[in-house]
Amino acid sequence: MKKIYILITFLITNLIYGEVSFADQNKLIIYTYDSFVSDWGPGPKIEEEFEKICDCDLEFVGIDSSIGILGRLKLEAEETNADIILGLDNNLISTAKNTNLLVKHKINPINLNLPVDWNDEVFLPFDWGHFAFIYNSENLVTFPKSFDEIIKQDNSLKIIIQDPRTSTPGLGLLLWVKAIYKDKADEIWKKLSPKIVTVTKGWSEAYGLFLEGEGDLVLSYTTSPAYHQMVENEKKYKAAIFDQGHYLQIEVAAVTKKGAQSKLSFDFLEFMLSDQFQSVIPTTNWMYPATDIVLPDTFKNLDKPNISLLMKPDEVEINRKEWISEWRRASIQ
Amino acid sequence: MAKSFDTITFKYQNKLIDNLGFSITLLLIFIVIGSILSLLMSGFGHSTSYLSNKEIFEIVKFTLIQSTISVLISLFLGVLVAKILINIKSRTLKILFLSFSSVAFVIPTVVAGIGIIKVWGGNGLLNYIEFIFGFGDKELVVFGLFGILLAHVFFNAPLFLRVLYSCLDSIPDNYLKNSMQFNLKGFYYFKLIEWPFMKQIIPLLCGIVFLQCFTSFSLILMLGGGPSASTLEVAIYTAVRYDFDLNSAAKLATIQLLICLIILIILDIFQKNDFSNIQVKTIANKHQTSKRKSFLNHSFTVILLSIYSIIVFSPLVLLIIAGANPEIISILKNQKIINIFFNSISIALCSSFLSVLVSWFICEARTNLIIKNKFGNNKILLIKFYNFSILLYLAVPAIVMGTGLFIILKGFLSYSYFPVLILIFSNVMLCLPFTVNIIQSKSIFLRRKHDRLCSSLGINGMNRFLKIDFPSLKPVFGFSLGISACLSLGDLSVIALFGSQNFQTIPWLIYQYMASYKMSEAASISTLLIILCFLLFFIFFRIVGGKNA
Repeated sequence: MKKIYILITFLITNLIYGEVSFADQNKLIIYTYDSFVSDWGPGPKIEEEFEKICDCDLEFVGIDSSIGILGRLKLEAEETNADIILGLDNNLISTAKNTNLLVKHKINPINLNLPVDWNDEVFLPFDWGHFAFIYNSENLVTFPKSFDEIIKQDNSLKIIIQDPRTSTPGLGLLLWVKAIYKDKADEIWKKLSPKIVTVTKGWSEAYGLFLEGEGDLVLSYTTSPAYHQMVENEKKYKAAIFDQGHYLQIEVAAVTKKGAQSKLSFDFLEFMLSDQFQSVIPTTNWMYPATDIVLPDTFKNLDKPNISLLMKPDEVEINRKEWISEWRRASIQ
Repeated sequence: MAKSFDTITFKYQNKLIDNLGFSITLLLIFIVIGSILSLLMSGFGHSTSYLSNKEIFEIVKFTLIQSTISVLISLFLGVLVAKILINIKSRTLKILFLSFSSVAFVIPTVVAGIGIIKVWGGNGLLNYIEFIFGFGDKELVVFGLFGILLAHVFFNAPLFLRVLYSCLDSIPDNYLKNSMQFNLKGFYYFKLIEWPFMKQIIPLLCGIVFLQCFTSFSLILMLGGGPSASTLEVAIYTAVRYDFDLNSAAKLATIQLLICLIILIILDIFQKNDFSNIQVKTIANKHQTSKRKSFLNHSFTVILLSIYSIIVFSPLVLLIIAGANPEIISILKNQKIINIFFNSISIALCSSFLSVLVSWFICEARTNLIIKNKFGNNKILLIKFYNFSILLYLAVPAIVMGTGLFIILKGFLSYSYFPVLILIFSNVMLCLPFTVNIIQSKSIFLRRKHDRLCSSLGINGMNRFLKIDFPSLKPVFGFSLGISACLSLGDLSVIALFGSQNFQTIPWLIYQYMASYKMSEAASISTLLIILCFLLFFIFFRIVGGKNA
């Protein structure tokens, strides 16, 4: 019995002690999503590069999803620990600004290389990508070039998508359809729904099911084939490029009110657009870098959409609930 | 006689433990209600809600249907397989069977979903076998209600099996001998001998499983095949995450809590708190008589075991095979991952010891009440209060709980302590429904068996616990430790919100790998998690529980 007590005390002290970190004058805390800070994500490399030049301690806090970052910020409000939030996507910009917890960046980004113009005063982009349906070219011979072509195909075509209520790509698809078909979006959903085999909570579930061979098409990014080519040397996965255009996802970062008290935060935003930061992005986050840097060959050879679709954050914020209800009703029928 | 026994009982019941058990239960309830209230009072909310009343009704209807069917199938399978297992002679085989069954608890839902797809999916094992034998071209479609049921049975049939097996195992020898003399067989044997023991525990167990199916979330989306398969939990998650509408999240959570409470009350009608027919079993029945079986009986056994193996074991086996890839070596060499494993094991050990301790307090307090109640003190309501309060946590969505705790704690503690404390707390809450019910019946046995003896010898307090009760409690403690360690290893629920770079757990690592295309690494870690869980269960069961566990 005594041994058990000693063991428990040891374990608890070990756990708590391991967590204690001392407040540091030169400390920069960044809230981001967890795959950004994983060993194989961009986080560790970026931390190393920035700490070389800043004489500071950079700490990433990984939260379960990009939307979770915003929730955490809202909960902590004025007492937040975060100096910077990094990893929200363009659809959340308007909601995030409404919290009044973020400050303007006052940086004039000259070297940006996005498919659209960027002139937001609070947020700066750090990477971007197009949503796209990925298919296995060994199984699917005729791949669709538009939503209409998907609809025309036989109902044995199996599509896996994410739920717009719980995931960013899911919401992206909803807006993609809306941007193309406007008022007729619900008809498209009605016609698509017999082919949609399942609607998962997040990207991982959907992509996992797809790799198990459960679907012919899965909603992901045009950059997904790059991962398979560069890491697994597997060329069979391809993105179906639609003539109607692809919806854009831009990932952004901003400085909080707490972060504004230190110059370090703004230094980091500038660093974010430097080559050291941007060159890490393609092969760790598997997205396009936000600036005009030299891309790895695989990225250069990827199929690219000609048209980029993007809605204004305000428009998304106002209509999101209604559009989701519309999608839900159309899909159930 | 009754009078004198009454006084003895009162004299030797431990007031301290009584109060401890009561206060802990009260605290747990306060925390659950407090976390919902804190969302209501946080001031984050909009006026419009996603769901109309009609939609809520539809969701609840679907949820009730899928949960009820899931519970019934799991119960059916659990009872029958437990009956088969009790007749198997080899102890090692039994323990292996049970330990492997318990592994299903621990797997993160995404991994379980993939495992189920590997068996039942379009490219899965069954379709492949069908293809080889040339059975038609009809493809098995798993997505929809069928997929949801498969997943729920995968998680819950082992639970029924595990608990009902212990139930059957506790049938005293003289019952078995009598049944031999009267030549009781088949249905009558079940009705007269086994059922009285099972029915003590089945309503509560059904309640636990029902709550789990009712609040299941990512699996339902993953295998449900579309937005018509939904639970209230999805709406609550969206309200917290996407709308940050904490107000309506709290309202929906309250609706969910109330529905769950109604269901528990209905189940409680079937729950007898009269433990009078439970007898103390003194000798382990080593001479379980082997009944001669007919051919029909044998084929029935084979069919049932195959169904159970296909539903529960085959996803696990296929997951283990998928994970046994070259990545596993580089993972075992990675110091950081080893540290995360150490973290997770520490958390699991802490939570399991704590939950067994807390459950023992609650059980003792409840036992005192039940024994007192026999002598006319009408404390039924208080007993019900214990019954429900330990189940409460299962009905509260993790995201509501996590957010609520965050709001409550943020004034008091530095953020860096959050993950560990909250993880341990939520693990303990998660384990309580299981551990309390496992320890409960034993605790009543022991009171019956030892009260008079101890009072006549004047042994009480700590002395009595260590020298008299503890040795007999060891098997149930071992079993509870095993189950709660496994549950804690696999639990991810509330921690997601509090993440930090320095503190990670195994399930979280799996999710991270999956979120960045690294499915084979995720598979390897899942395999390691399955093996670890199996070992933990086996060790606790065997070492703490002793040879006769």
